[in-house]
Amino acid sequence: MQIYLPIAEMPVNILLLIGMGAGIGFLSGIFGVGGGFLMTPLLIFMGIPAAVAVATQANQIVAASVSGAIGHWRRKNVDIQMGLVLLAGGLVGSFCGSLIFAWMKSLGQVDLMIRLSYVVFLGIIGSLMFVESARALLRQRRGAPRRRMRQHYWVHGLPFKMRFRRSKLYISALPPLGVGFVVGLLAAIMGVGGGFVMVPAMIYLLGMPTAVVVGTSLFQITFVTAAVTIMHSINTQTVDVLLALLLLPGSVIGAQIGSRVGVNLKAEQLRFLLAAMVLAVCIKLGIDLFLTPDDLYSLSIGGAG
Amino acid sequence: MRQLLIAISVLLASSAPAQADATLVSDISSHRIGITSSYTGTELLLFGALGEGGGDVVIVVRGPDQDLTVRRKGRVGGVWLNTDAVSFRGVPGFYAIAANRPLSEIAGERILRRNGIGMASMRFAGETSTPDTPDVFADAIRRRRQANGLYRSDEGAVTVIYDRLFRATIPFPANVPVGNYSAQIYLFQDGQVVVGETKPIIIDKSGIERAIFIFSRRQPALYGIFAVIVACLAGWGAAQFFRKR
Repeated sequence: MQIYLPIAEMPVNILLLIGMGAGIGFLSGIFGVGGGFLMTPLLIFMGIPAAVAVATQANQIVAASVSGAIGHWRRKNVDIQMGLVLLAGGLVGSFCGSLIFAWMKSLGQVDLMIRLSYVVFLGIIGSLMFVESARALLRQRRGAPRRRMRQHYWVHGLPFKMRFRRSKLYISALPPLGVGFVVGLLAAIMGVGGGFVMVPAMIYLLGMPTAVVVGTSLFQITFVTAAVTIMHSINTQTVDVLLALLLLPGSVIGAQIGSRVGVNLKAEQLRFLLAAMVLAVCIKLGIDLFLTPDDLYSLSIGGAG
Repeated sequence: MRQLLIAISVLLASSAPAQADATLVSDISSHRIGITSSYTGTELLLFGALGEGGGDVVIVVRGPDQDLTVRRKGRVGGVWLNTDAVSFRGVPGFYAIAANRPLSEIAGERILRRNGIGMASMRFAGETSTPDTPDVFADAIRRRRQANGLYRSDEGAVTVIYDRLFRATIPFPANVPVGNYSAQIYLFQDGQVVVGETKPIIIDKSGIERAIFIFSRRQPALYGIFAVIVACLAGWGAAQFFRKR
């Protein structure tokens, strides 16, 4: 069953889209991560223009994270002050990101930029996770105790200190602003929620209690991806609502099933699997950059900017 | 086919006495193609009748002119990236030729070219941003567009029956640009154009396709807000729905 996407301007198979949504949703349910960093490359592999894939994925993440954010809000698992500071950074970051995006698009390099940033990010994240989970697996065999993270950092010496009541922290506003900025930049350029960067940063860099980490990050992601959706709509007109909606049902169902399956699996093995998958996608994207293209020439409608 | 013949005979009966000089009568199965959400490409049927003496039929369907940027990839540090670009103006977004036999047998190259018939007759005005050879870039337009079905030349697509009736199907792939098209139907006799007719065709997005596309271009800010609201409602609704099971 084919459907014509109005913004991507190509027909795609509906069942394939729903299936992809379900597959990525399942994985994100198992691993407890948003699937943006896997979905966007998949859409690109499918032939969807990279710019449309990124912008639409931002829109889809709004849908995927809003209910989680509401749930955590109700259970008071959101540090609103921290969320707002992260959000402020995120808005500035996504604004810069969308300007860079539009600029690269006018230069005809947006595809390259998206692919390169994916290769770099998936490469870093994938190898870190790979090493970390391999170590954890080894440690488990030996039965050695886990190392505690240090409680004090250079972070605590910075100015503009703020009190974050819910997190019971008194730290400078600069690190959360910076983290938010990076996440916003990633959201605009790569179409990812950025949870995979933000959650570790919140725990290890900011020292937030784990109870509020997920809720606060979802809060920030929802608003930042919403802002990214609007900015891409204005600057590059690459948000395909129909595509986002088609990916949604599969991803919601998949996530529900995935989270149930995930409970029965061991965390270290899961992380190892996820790391392997992230690296596989990274390698595929990376190889494409180096392989000689079938045709060196490509056409795009509109004059060169 | 039966319907077609009836249509043509009616057409002939009604128009022949009024235009005794006309040696070509033609029509299209539809003057409008609506791209809906189920659109995956379509075909139009061009048909008609020739006067005494028959002749060769050549049909040229042209899509709306576009400004186009052709980019060439080059290797920089092992990575392939777009290095050169040439902009072109007035490049047809669609170009299909159908004829009843090879063009070279129908008329001389000069005559064909003067009437804008043939892939080679398309001249692209290139604004070179790198003073390379723009010909290579113009060739790339023809090659890429032939590969994705937007340009095609089918010398044999026109069927002439009894030297009087002709028909041809012109395929429109899924990726056709929207806009105003024209179908030019030429009758050749002894290597010369005897009659030429032009018929308009409109390709337009329709239904929800059109609504979404136009909304996104005319009101981009509102469209973005709309996209966010839709996503919030859909995400929240889906979560509510699946939580219960």
